[in-house]
Amino acid sequence: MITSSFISSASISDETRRSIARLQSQLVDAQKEISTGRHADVGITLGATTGVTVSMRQDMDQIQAIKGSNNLVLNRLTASQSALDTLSKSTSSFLSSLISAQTAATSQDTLIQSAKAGMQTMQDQLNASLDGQYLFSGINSDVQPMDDYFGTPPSAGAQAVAAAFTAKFGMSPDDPAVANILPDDMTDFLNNEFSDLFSDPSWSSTWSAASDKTVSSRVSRSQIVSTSVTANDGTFRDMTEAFAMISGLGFANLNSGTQQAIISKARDLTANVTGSLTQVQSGLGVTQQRVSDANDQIDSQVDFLTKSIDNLELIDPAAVTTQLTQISTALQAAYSLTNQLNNLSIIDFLSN
Amino acid sequence: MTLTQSTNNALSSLSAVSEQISVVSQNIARVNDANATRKVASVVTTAGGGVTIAGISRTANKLLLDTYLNANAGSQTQTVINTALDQLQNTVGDTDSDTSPAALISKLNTTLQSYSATPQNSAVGATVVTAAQELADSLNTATATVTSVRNQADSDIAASVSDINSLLSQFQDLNQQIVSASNSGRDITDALDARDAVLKSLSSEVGIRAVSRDNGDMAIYTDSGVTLFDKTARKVTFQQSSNLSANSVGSPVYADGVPIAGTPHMMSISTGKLAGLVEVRDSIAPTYQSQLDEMARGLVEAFAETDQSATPTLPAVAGLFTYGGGPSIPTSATVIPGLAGSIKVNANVDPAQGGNAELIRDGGISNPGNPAYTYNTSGGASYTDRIQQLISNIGVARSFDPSSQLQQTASISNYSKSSVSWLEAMRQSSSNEAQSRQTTADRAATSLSQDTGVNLDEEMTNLLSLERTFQASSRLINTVDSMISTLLQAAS
Repeated sequence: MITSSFISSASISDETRRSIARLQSQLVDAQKEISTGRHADVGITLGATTGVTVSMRQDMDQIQAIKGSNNLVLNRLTASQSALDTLSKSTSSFLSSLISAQTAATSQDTLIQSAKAGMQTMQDQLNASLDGQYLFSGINSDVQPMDDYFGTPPSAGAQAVAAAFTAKFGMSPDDPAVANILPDDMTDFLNNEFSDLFSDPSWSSTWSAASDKTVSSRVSRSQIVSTSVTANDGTFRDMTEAFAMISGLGFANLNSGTQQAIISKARDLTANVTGSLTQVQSGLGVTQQRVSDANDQIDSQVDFLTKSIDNLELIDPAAVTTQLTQISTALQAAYSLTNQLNNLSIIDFLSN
Repeated sequence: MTLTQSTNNALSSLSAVSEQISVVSQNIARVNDANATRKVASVVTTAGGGVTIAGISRTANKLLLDTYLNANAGSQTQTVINTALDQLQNTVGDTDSDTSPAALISKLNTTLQSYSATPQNSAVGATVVTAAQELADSLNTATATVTSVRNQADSDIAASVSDINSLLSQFQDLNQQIVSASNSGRDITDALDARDAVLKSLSSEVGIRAVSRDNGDMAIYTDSGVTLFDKTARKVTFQQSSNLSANSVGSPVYADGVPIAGTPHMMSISTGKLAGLVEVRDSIAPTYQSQLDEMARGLVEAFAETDQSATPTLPAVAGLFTYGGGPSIPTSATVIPGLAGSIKVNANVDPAQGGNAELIRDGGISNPGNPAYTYNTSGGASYTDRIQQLISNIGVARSFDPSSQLQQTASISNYSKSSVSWLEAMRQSSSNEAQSRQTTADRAATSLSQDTGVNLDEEMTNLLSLERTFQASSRLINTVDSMISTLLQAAS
């Protein structure tokens, strides 16, 4: 009875049952791949390579976050630049007032007005803020760097100027007797006591609430750059000094010789300021360029990373569609085979 | 030969055919029973020319059975390992989901980067805390998963051991029946089938080698050679742990007093569900746990705060991330078992617990108000140095314990990525291995079934011929009867 071609009935149906189960699980995977476009189980497919896509996704998250923060930095830099532009314009116009005042073509009132306006503009611009962050406060970005010089009560700076004046000349700047002050005395005062007001430690305690420390930002994965200018920069001290000379020392009542001494000193300072302001602006411009370059680089990195991740994780839709068709065909064949095998029994052919 | 003799022969044929039909009916009844073998009644001719059933034999094939036992045991091991790895993989998820520690480390990094752009905004600082909490939670959850996988394996080992013991005692009963019946010559084929079925079940639990002896007796050894059954069943013992934590070790399994799994021993089994479970409990899950612990330790280390005084005297302390043993910093490159389960975000920095998220920017999370650990000494709202330092710390290479089977020097984000690679590589190879072993086991099962199973068509054909034989024998009796009656009529 045992023949070499013997096969048990159970194994016939078992074989088709197993192949149907296998095909069905393949079908589920293929359907998932078609609908998501990715491997059904990325981990199983990639194995040890999975870490590569995880790592690339980490890189991508990081550089995209850097790009997001770079955009904020760029906004801040642009706002700072526009503030500096305004300052640069007001300084130039003050400088021309000073120059024409030297030749007496400008009335002293105009000059005082120009100085006051300059001081106001400078305070406004240095107090510029973006998103609740004061642009020129350094890391003390929650504090407005400059007080209003002309406010009531007078700012610490205004008081310090008046006090220094009184200490030197024995009278307040508003006293009409200031007309008796000699040009040399005034020059001496400007070069020493007055000038000291704008150097440390006096500057930080009376004029500016800004920090010397500029804001630093990570603009690429490895570069951390300083992305702000603080109100403590020498340019702004000189600028304040020049404006305070004209607006705070009782300029209107001084004799013309003393006035000229002040004008000459203020002109030198302002001329320097126009130069150094340009340097500050170009310094910020370089940073702006660096940040936007970093962003361009990030864009190309993101492109590359996206492609690399897709290469690893995505499926070939054409291949999977073909595979899906093949699986359904095989499954249909298996079903019809099961049915046919079921009908192929000798019992149906036996007659009593 | 006499007519009486002919009648006797025909009668013997009738009874032989009845017996054969009964065998056919048994075969047909069990056509779909995977453990049933095909039974054959062997017919012998007696001295007078009659027939009798000498015995009923079955179509066993010891070689194919052994192949099946091996293949099945191997396949079960791999299936168990594969299932455990799939469970562990849940702690990682798909690469595009944000659930793995690796993805969450990267998320923490991005929130820090955003915070560095707007350090004056404490709401952004709070997102860093949230990201840190998600990361700590994911490590806690992963630890819970690993622990539950280990505990599950431990209780599965207990279940497997109890199955083995009950199978061995069934085996003992059947073996006794077979030995005594084969001495007395009774039909033992059903008992043999049942005993083979027990062997098959046993091979699912533990890799075995079955050795046939005289009188149908059989002995069972594990694949490593430890006796499981020899005349009597040997006791397999195991002490289930009530709760396996990250730093506790499960008990070994003993058979006949010899450790066969769960402790390094030359007699350790290599296949069967039991071997897979022990591998999961004692090797795969603990290794993954140590990787999680190292990740957690790396995070505590990366976010630690150091003494900022001009002449530092105080030790570094745990900052954003602290743990059960905090605030001291754990020793570098040394696994602290269970650290990933206790890592948490320091309450001092969590706004939900009354903390201050700005401490991430300023430092002093470990001890707010202590100037020694304050980085932002001037209190500047846009102070970013500490945040930049933390971002750098995530990317800085640090030392990890080699026992975790990953690289010893890597950044925390790199290490977390390698852990994903390790796990997925294990899954890939184990899934491939499981598939190929499954195929082998299927083949072995098919071969065994093909060779020893029942074919319905053949049984039906046999039935037809038996029916004819029965008809012919009946006719013979009829004919002899009529011949005798003719004779009697002639005589009267």
